[in-house]
Amino acid sequence: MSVRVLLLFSLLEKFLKLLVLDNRDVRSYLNYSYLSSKNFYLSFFKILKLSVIFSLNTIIDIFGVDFFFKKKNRFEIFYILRNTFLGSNFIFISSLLKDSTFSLNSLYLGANWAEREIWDMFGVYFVGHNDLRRILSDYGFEGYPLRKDFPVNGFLELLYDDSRRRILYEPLQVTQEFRVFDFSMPWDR
Amino acid sequence: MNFGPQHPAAHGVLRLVIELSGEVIQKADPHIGLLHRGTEKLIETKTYQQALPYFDRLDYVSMMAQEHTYSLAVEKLLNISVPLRASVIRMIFLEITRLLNHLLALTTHALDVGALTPFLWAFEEREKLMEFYERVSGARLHSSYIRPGGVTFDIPEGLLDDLFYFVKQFKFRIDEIEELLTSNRIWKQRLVDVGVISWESVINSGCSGVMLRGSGFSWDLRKCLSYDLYKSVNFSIPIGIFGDCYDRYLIRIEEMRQSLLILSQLINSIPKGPCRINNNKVSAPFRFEAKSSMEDLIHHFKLATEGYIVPEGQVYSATEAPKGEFGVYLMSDGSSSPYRCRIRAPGFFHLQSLELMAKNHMIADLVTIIGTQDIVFGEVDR
Repeated sequence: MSVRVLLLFSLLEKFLKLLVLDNRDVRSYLNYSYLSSKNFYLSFFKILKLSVIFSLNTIIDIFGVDFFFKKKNRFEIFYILRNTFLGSNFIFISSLLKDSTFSLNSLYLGANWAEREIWDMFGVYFVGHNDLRRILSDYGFEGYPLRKDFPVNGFLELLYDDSRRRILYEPLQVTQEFRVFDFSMPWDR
Repeated sequence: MNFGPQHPAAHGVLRLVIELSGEVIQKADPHIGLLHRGTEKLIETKTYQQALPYFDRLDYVSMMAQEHTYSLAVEKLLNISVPLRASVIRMIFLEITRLLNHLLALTTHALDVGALTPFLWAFEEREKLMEFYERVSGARLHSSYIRPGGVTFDIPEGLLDDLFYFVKQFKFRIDEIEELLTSNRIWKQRLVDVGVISWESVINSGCSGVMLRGSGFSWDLRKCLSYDLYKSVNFSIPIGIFGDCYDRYLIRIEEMRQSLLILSQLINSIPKGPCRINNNKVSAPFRFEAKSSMEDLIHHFKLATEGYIVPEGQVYSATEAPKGEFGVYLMSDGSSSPYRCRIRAPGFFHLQSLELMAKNHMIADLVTIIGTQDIVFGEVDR
């Protein structure tokens, strides 16, 4: 355990050097191998939030990216944190081995809805989140729209049935297939 | 109890499920997403140029502020900088946008609380401001005027003169609104000490803009993480003391005055020069050029079909939109459309803290708090 704590601090030291280099945007991958336990994950962010050096007191955004077949780990969660005293942004990227990670809800109030949105859009589960409902999509919606394998058109369409006087969900019918134009030139590749 | 989604005080399609004890709110759970259009997903299928108009439609009362954020992100990825004149024109229209937004925010807030008259006055002023929009871009609302590489067209002759006359008379319009509201007994009874929130919890919940400044934290991206030429203009950041709705009202009024100050400085110091970068690989040639030159025609065709290739990379760009920090995280995979475009909407984070602010208030105060947060559902739901 003490080795892990040491590793954590060496990691922080690395960030410190980066901070000196560029105090606007610092981007760094989290090393997931020793942040795979909830306590370490949270204490890592707690150090970032509460320590005087970093004092990343505000959460700007959390969002996910789906690297469908592009990378080994499919999902990456981006944390944009800010030190409002220095005005520097820190962007932490955590590459997920499975489609679940730990919630920062207890540390930052702002993480609540952002994490709900990731759950809604990507289906990434946040362990420790106390209210993980869907947020932007329709009541009873199925699927995760921002995943790359979700079609832009969706699967269902809404229509008003005049005879039954209510709104119906029906399987999508499009007269023209959704077209993707690939303009990239063969000699550019 | 259910509140909304079709309620005039909900500023759009907010549905709230409220738990009450008598008339006092115990719990308020916003249900959002009724205006969700999947902007982020749509942008992934469009080229960088085609993605721009989606940004007008996010927060549909501060259009250009969002185009600007997106343009800044694309410009950072392309590693280009816009000409000086374009930068100044952008700032002029950003401040006009701020006026547009604050006029709507303040006066619909007043309307919710019960004061109808400022609303009518402000909408006349908004009409004048939207005319400026129309004169540069042809559209009153969804202008897509600020683009990667500069602005679409140079400003027409005489616009700055008219803007000067507008700025000159607009001070008195603000005074008139203030005369009706600032020391009004009813207005104060409804706003003072309602929706108090400390700056610690504002920061913790990711709120920005007027919400942050209202609680006494001096933070304005125009100054703190300055972009464009905001370093070279003089203006001050008004901050509140108590963090209640009345403070936020006063800040919005003062921000309008500061915007006027910025505008008058910019009108006097606008430089001459091109309004777009000269690089035809990024900015489309003008119509008369495309009609007379073969090369420009080719450029025009390439831009209209394929768009431009943006080198691989990722960037976060944030600007002080009238509502707060509007951010765009763009991730490019080296093709002509973004791999991922994350839109950080200020309203999303503001609405999240609604429960925090509305707890132990009466239902009538909930309306005040929704009004003071300046929620627009285009950006909350995206």
